[in-house]
Amino acid sequence: MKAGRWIVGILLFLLIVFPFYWVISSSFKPADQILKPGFFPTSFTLDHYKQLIEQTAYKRNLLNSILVAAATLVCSVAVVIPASFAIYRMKFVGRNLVFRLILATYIFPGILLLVPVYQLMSSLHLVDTLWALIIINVTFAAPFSIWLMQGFFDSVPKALDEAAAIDGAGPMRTLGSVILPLIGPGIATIAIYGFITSWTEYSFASVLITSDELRTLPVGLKAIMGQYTVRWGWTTAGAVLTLLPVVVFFAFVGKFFVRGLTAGAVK
Amino acid sequence: MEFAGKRSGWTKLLPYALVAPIIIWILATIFWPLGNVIKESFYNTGFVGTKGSFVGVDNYKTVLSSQGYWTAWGKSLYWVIGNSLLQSVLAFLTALLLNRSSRIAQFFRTWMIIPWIIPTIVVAIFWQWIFNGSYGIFNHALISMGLLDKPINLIGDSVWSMPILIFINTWHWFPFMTIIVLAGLTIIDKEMYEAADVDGASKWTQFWTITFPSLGKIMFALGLVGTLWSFNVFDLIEILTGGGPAGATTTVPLFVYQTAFENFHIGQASAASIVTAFLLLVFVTVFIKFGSPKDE
Amino acid sequence: MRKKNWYIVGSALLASQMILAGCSSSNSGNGAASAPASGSASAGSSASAGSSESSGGVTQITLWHMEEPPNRVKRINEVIDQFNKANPDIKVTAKVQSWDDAYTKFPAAIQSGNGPDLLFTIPDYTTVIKQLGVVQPVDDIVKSLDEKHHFLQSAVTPYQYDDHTWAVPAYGMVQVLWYRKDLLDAAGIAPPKTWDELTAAADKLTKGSQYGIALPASKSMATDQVLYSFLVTAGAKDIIDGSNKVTFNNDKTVKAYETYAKLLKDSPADSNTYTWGEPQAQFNAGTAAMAIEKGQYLSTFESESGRPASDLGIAPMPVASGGEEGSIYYSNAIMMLTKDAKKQEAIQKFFDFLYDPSNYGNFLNAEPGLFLPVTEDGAAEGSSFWNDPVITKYKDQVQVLLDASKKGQLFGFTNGVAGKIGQISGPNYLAQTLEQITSKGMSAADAVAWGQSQMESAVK
Repeated sequence: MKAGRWIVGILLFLLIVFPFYWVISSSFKPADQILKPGFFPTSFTLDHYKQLIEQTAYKRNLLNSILVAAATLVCSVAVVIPASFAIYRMKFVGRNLVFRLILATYIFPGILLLVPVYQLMSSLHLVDTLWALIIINVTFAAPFSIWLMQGFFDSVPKALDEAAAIDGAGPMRTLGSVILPLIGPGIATIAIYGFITSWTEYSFASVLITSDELRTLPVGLKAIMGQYTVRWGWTTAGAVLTLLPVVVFFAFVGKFFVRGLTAGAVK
Repeated sequence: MEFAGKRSGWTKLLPYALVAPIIIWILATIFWPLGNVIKESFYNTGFVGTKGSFVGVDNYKTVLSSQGYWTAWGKSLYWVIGNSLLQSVLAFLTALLLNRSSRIAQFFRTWMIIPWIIPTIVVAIFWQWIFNGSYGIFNHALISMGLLDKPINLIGDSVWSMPILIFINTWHWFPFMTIIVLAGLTIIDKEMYEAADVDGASKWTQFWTITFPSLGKIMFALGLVGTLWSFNVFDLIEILTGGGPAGATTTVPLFVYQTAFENFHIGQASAASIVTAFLLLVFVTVFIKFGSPKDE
Repeated sequence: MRKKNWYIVGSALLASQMILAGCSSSNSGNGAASAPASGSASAGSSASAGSSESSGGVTQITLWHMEEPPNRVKRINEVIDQFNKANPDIKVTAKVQSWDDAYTKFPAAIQSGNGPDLLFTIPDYTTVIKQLGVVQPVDDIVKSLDEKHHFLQSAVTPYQYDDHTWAVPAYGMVQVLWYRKDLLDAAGIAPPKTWDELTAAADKLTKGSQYGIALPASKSMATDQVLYSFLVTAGAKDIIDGSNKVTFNNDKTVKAYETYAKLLKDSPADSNTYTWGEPQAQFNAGTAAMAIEKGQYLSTFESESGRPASDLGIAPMPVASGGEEGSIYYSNAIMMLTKDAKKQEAIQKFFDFLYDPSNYGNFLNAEPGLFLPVTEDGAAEGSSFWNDPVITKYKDQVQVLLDASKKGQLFGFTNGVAGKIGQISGPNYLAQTLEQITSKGMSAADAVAWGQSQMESAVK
């Protein structure tokens, strides 16, 4: 039993880690080595990275991705927390309707919304601005975040609300001074969720942005993959550069995210 | 006590004010565009940006009688079921392994989720590179082990492309599912297992009699949201196969996209989207009605 | 109930404003990025509206091209910078786009007024985008340029229909047979001139880990194009006529597909995932001895193959018995989407600059060999085209490409202009017909019949 556990564990570990190892090690192989599958690299070069950083707008794209992800994080927390408070702590006519509306966002195949969303952003004069991406990313991140907040709100005893009410606190003060401090981990979780949702979005970022200097990383990476020549050195190095920042980010916040997700999803 | 409408005026309106931003946000970015799609579904619009004329329900007739659409549904069912099964198996395996408080388990809990945090396009590059029919390490390994004598072309194979895509998408998503399952596992009372041990029940029996039923609510949520998420996957398939070869991986979202932007039938694509959304709505309703866990 | 709805709407609006205000203030660090963002958005929203956005007397022109590789982006920007410097009252701004977005983002942008003033195009894309009603006739510009520089007729014709010229040809692209001279010599094979020689050579060169040829077989424009070179040399170049009558299903087409399918057996196993890049990579790696493609093979051959330039062999597309010489050739062109008189005037100036033989070559050599001159004086001895080191090194190869362009053909434009050719090239029906053979196991005759019926219903 114990041995079986270890075997399964190691296989799962390899399944997750191997693709990372393989792409990262390939990205350091010189152009004449990369197409020859050798499990261990025999020589090492930073050429692909140098060329990418010099010849493409990587740094600009990185900055855009960070700005969009950070703003998505802030805005999604700002809309989700008040809404969750109302949905999970207050009684009002239409509460169920609101809940269903939020779930319904999952039903529609997003891909055909590309053009109407473009037209919407255009009428708001937001095409080719990072705001367009922020707005659409919040739409993608918010519904699941609301669902996730349920567990956190449920974990705060309602007795605390009552006590606050007896002290004469209104609902908003109760939210601010009683509930918010207790759902910190939940806020962190949905914040990170918003960040990652935004970081990985591709289709809308590709359509809503027309200027090179406003592209996000995945869109820049797609352009690097190129249409006429397949350069696996560039492609693998570009993939590494695209995943690196989010992995670094995750190294700092991952613990809170996973802890929050395990706490929030159960209730 | 909840903040019901005890005080008048402002307090009564407060919940609406609080949910308003998200509702407006969603209405504006999903439902307003959706309205546009509904409108287009009654017009014979061809190319994006051109004006079509009103054709009533013709587009719906065309879609409902189109072989391509129902073939795409077949592929979508294959895709969704394949993904659910594979993701569940991997998520449960991983979660059961990591459901302990040792430091190492805690460490892996955090880091095993990284396949989920990287962009889809990076996932596509990873596996395209590994399964590449000419330079891929996968072929190379099989050939050097003597299992193959010529490289095989998995992603471009009319039979293998779908299972391989399911595998790749599963790799991207199962870590997230694992966390959700882990969340469910943490609340199961340890004493239940101890009691079962005393009764001499095997681990296998314990899994099916204790673990699995306790996860009812989690499984329900995963089944619902996870299914919808998988169904609507577009990027990964488009980047890896574009729906090919010869339509072998053309799921419904791919079909809709191709109808709209390659065959230039926005009207028909809109009708196909609406029919699809309706069928998914039926699925959700049925799922909620019959799949909802009973409150113990 | 109804009253309550009004409350909901009212309070909703209020709250959303609060939130939006909160968002923007919490993102004040974002201002740096959103300021130029909105700036460029207003500059871009010029497009079709027709209002002249000349700030301080400078006429702004936006140009979208789809030449994504960094070397091309850089060169195009350099040429444009030179123009801007010489014309302080005009500012042309180039933005690189992806062909992948050509049928989604571009029309959406153009229709809502965010499109460019100048948009690069190819013949079939022009027929599609023209439906939006914003493409302006460029008869006068083409006429005046033609008087000075003499356009090649085959470059202009695909853009001339409905009584006007709809785009200014910018550069031509043509397919040829590329071969590895070292590998053919080693096998004692002469460069193939006919299909029989081609298939025999491919067979003979396929041994061990080496393949005779690398051909694309995915559902893509790349596959469409190579297939069409086979259709041309089979003698089946007319697949649709000026009245959109499809004449795809005939014995010569079937023969072309049979030959293609046969050649795929001597092409790497993953050919059905190939588009443009993969055959070239296989060719440079020496894994494939031949390929049928356009001129982009020149610039990277030495560095990626590690072989001397003399090993890059080139020959005209082999011909079937009873077929005709030729291959796919098409000119890329630039459409004008603005009605604004001032902008049009600026655009005229820009074209005058671009086609001047001392500048035109610099522009073309953004990708030496791929972009061929479409004007007579642009290709003339002594023009800037011949100054490029890559062009100089591969002078003989470039001459073969220039000769091949004179025998070039393009589907949909061989027998009058088929206004609905976009309905056939958009879904890649030429390539899809091949997929019926390679993935579904149909016979070539059945597949071609299938293709005919698909195309017929597409252009209906």
